[in-house]
Amino acid sequence: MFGLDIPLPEFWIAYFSLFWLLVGATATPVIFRHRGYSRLLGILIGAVIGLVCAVLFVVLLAALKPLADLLDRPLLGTLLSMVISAAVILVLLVRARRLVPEARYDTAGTRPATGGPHTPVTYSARVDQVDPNRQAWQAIRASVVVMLAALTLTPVVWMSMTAFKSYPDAVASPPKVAFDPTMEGIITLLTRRRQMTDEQKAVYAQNEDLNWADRVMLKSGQAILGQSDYVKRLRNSLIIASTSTVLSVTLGLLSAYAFSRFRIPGKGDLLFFILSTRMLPPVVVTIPIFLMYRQLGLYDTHAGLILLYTAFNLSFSVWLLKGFIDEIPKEYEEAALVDGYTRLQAFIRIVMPEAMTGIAATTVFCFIFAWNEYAFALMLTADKARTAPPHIPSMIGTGLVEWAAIAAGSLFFLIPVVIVTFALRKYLLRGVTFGAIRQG
Amino acid sequence: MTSVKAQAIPTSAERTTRQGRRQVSDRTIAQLFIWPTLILLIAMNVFPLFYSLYLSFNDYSVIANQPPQWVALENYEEILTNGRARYWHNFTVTGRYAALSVGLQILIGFGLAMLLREKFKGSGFITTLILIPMMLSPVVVGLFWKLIFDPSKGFFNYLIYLNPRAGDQWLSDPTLSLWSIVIVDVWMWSPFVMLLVLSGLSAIPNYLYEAAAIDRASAWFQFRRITLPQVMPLLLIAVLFRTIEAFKAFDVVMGLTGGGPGDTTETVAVRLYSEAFLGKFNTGESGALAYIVLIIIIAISNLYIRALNRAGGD
Repeated sequence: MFGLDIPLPEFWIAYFSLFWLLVGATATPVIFRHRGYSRLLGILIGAVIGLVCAVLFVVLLAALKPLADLLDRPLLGTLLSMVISAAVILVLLVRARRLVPEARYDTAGTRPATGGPHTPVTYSARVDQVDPNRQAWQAIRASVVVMLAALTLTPVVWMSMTAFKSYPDAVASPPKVAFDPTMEGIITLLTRRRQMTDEQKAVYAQNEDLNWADRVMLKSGQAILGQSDYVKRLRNSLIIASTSTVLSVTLGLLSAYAFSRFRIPGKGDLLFFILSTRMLPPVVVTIPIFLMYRQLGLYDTHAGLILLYTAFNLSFSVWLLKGFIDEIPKEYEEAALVDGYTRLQAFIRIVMPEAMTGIAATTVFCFIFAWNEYAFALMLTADKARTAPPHIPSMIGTGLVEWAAIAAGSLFFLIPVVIVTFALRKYLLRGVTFGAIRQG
Repeated sequence: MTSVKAQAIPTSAERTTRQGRRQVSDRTIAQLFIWPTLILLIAMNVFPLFYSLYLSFNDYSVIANQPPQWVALENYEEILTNGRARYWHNFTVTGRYAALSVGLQILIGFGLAMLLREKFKGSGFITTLILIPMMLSPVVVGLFWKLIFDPSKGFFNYLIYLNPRAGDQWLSDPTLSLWSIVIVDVWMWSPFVMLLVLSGLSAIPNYLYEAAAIDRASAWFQFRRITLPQVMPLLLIAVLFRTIEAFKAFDVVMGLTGGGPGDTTETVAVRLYSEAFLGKFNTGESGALAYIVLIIIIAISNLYIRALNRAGGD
């Protein structure tokens, strides 16, 4: 990059440059604000300082190249030179902070002569928390977090990008970052196609009634014949996941209420039993269930999978919902009972509306679990009731691997999950620990 | 007023009958509410478990046209003697995978939680973004990491080597394939540890830190004596949960390596699957193996649930 000899792949150079840019742009305004300047000036100068930091980092890394070569181990050398460069920049930043002069004020006495926050602190706060140095460090910490989040999401972003690549782009080596987005992958996933010769293509192109999907595929010389199996799998997934979710939430709600409100002999043991069924590795239970289903004719049927997923999610929904119902004060129902409601009425009119958020969260969790489930579906279905998760790996099978199509298939799993994660962010921890631990 | 009040209070005889009736109906409702759940769980979990216990004492294959033959403990003997080397290998693979990934997850998750501990503008949004991998379908995750690890088409080698072509074949190198699974697992589940630790951190009362600050305790001392002990129970939960999951590790491994190359990444769950559903369909022996795994998991989950109860209780 720029003819500099740097012991680091380009991605990381871009990544760290971005990081230093962010650090400069977020930490500098804090200092400027405390010195009494306008926010805008701070941000502008911050951006410049960020750029300087980024360039400095790259230059320092290049300068430290001999060090990386000197050490026998390139990884260690690279890491060391990165740490040194980062330390140098940080020290420089901390030093430079003192160079910022105090702003001149027209009216005297609006702020103390030295130090202290720009605006009077009217809220109760620890002095060390509103210290400008500390706030600048906070800004740096926030930049670190943002960059780490970006790194975490790289694979997901890559997958989404691959879904919109054409076949040659998807398998290009080196991998392509910039590409022409097409819908080829998604259409490949959802259709069966026939490869055409050039003559056939010419004839086919004459057709008047080509829709846009046909035209997209025409570019790679393929004619769409019909729906692929994946559409069927997706439909199965939808039917099975939603039915089992409704069942397990309904049953779970009833038992959660009973466990929460009534005295039941051996309650602890029962709850433990219910949770322990969830702990079993699916593979362990599948063998007998497989035999059982073959006997009962449930193998490769929707009913079989629905039943299994319902049982599988039931323990989860009981525990989660019990946690939510436990939070509703008993007094509400007691008041209702005194007013002449029956138990059932109290449950439907008082508890259910109060527990609605909990029910919604549980529903979504159950749905996502069933939607993502792979092991049971792989072992207990063959074709008729097979869901999407076991189908995607089987596309790798033989011959050309349609990575774009596989990525597109994964997208159908990614999108609901992203939506759900955001919708449920308050309940995620509760969800994954069976309602036992609440997010603070 | 007085008369109304007097009417509202039932006589003692009335009260007992009403309460008596309600109690009975409460109990019936409790029964009605609980039994469907229990019946379903018994049918789908308890019965299969006993069935597989029975099968584990039999010589049986689902594809063979003969009924199960009672062989008592022979299957277990087979696992513990002839098949021991390979089964032991499966257990060590699982153990190494669990130790490596859980250790790294705790480190990274804890670090992330410490970074995200104090809120800043948009920290909620960032936290949620980091949590996305945790919710993804493991098999899909395994698949798309397969593309990422690919030495020519994937970007992983381009990230860590100056000369990617000379870089490693992550999935086909016997020593690195386990590491690639660990990397994926860490990517997926560090956010879970982060979430647990974050909830633990937010529960630490602020006055502890204030008292420590007044006493001029160093940051390290505060971490060592306040933060760590307070978060410890939650870390324990994370370790147990992830260990249980490691024994279940199936989806990611199947998506990523399918147990290969050779059997270097064949975890217990994958072995169980290939024993029961591929090749000879060794139902009896796989039942026995399943039971061995089951006992281990029950032991760990017992600890886990106890830890959960303790953490949730206070």
